[in-house]
Amino acid sequence: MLKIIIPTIFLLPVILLSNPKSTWMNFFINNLLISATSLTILKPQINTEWKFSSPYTGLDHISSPLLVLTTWLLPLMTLASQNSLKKEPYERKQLFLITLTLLQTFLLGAFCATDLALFYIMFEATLIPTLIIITRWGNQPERLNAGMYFLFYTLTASLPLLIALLTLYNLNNTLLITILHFLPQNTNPPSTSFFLWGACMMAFLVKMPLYGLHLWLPKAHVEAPIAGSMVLAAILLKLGGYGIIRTITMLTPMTKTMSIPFITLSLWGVVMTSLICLRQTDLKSLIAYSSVSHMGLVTAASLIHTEWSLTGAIILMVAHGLVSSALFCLSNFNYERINNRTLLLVRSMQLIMPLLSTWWLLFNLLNMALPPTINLMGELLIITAMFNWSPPTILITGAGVVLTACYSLHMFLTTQHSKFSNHLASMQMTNTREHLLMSLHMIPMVLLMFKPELVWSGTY
Amino acid sequence: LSFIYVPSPFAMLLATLDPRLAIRARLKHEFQLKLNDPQHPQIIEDPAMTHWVYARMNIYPNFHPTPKNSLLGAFWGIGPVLFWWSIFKTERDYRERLMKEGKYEWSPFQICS
Repeated sequence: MLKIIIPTIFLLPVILLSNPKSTWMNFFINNLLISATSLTILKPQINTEWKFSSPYTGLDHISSPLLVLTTWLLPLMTLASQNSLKKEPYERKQLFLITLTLLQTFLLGAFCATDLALFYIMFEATLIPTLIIITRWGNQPERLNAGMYFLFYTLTASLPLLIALLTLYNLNNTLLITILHFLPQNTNPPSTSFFLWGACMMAFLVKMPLYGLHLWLPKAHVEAPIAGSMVLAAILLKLGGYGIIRTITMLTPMTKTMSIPFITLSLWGVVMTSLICLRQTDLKSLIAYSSVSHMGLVTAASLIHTEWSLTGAIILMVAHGLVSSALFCLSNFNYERINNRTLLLVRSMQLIMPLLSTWWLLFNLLNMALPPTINLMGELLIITAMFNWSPPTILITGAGVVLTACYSLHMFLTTQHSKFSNHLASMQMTNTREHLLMSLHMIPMVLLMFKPELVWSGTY
Repeated sequence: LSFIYVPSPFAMLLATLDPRLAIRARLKHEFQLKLNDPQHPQIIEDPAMTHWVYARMNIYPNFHPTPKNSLLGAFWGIGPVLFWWSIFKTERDYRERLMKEGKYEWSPFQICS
């Protein structure tokens, strides 16, 4: 683990001591080296194997794919923000990179924590750099509102989690995930168990987000700069899923009854947010609501916690991380050219930038879970597991799949194929940097398509 | 008496008398000037479009609950959740009951016969 955490921390001197002309390059190359180092984690693992164990950190079959996703995404974030920060003074660029590095360190700590207390501290700590990125480098005045919504939704929901963790520590005298799964189940009366279940789960459900509590997500995703949007969509949502998967095994007797309303909410949220996507005027808002839709499936799967659903949840988390981040990058290309996120303004891009249209097509097809991509693998496993849990879910999940295809098609057709808008007098062509960014998103997807065992969570 | 021209309901308003067409012609003229300007700005901003986008974004801050609003919200928001909750609960309880009585078929279909 140290071979990833120490180079990430030492990115801070890289930023501070680099020659101003080559800071971005140094940061990017070092990040790619760290990602390459982290690929050694990505071996198919069995269920009970903890790799790289130390007293405080360790990697499981659930955290390894997410950790590799985190380390892969940071260089992509720097590549994407290079253009939007072009005009800022050098110290502010350094500050931006320092914030990204701090966020990366906390995320790495969260994913490799074996102690739930360390996980909680890192979970909360990731909020601060993200808040700084959203409110400081966002582009509209609404970013302040967005930052407040983001911070306070997650903080309010995670205070009960703190109390629940302290209670668990009092009961069991340890908070190690490796031990807590095997301790005897709690024999508290149902009223206490109800509150313990609620307290443990609410923080992660808000972060996922669950459909009723998802208000922070469109705001935060839309107002954040591109790096903030990428890290929010790709990784921070997965922290919620990871938390649910880790803590739900300790809460077993109550989960049977208490999980049903949340599964209902998340499944209904899949359908509702897909419908909302069809009505959006703002391109980034469309992609943000599609994130809620995909994460609704992951929430439902994590709450059932069967083997197939866990596999599907983790695959869908990895796949959605890459695809959602790529879609945000694509919408940022539009934003950098016309400084406006309205969907109807950048139509008929296929005529103007045909190569970019290829990327739009590919990532929209991935978004709607085209076979044989891993998106389909995840969604299909989740839908099958949900059907096994209760057959009527197939109605909701089926409608969700159809509507996902609908809004993905809508997004593609509106941006690429509609009538050309007259007011765009000139538009910059796509640079190599942008094509590199898109291909770096696509390469893991294609490779994982050929060997998905790397992210199947230990059941195969 | 002075004669005030009122368009008859059977005939359309004359183009030269319609005030809206004058505004439209002026806006088109300004747009064509900006479009064909050699030192043109890269983006020609349309204030009407900005207003429209802003209006579409700011629905919730101008929301206040009315009886119709609250009914629709309860019907579409809370109703489906309660509906599906009841369906899943009855189905799961039915399955639980079958399992307790021993009548639940764990694998109804055979892979090979």
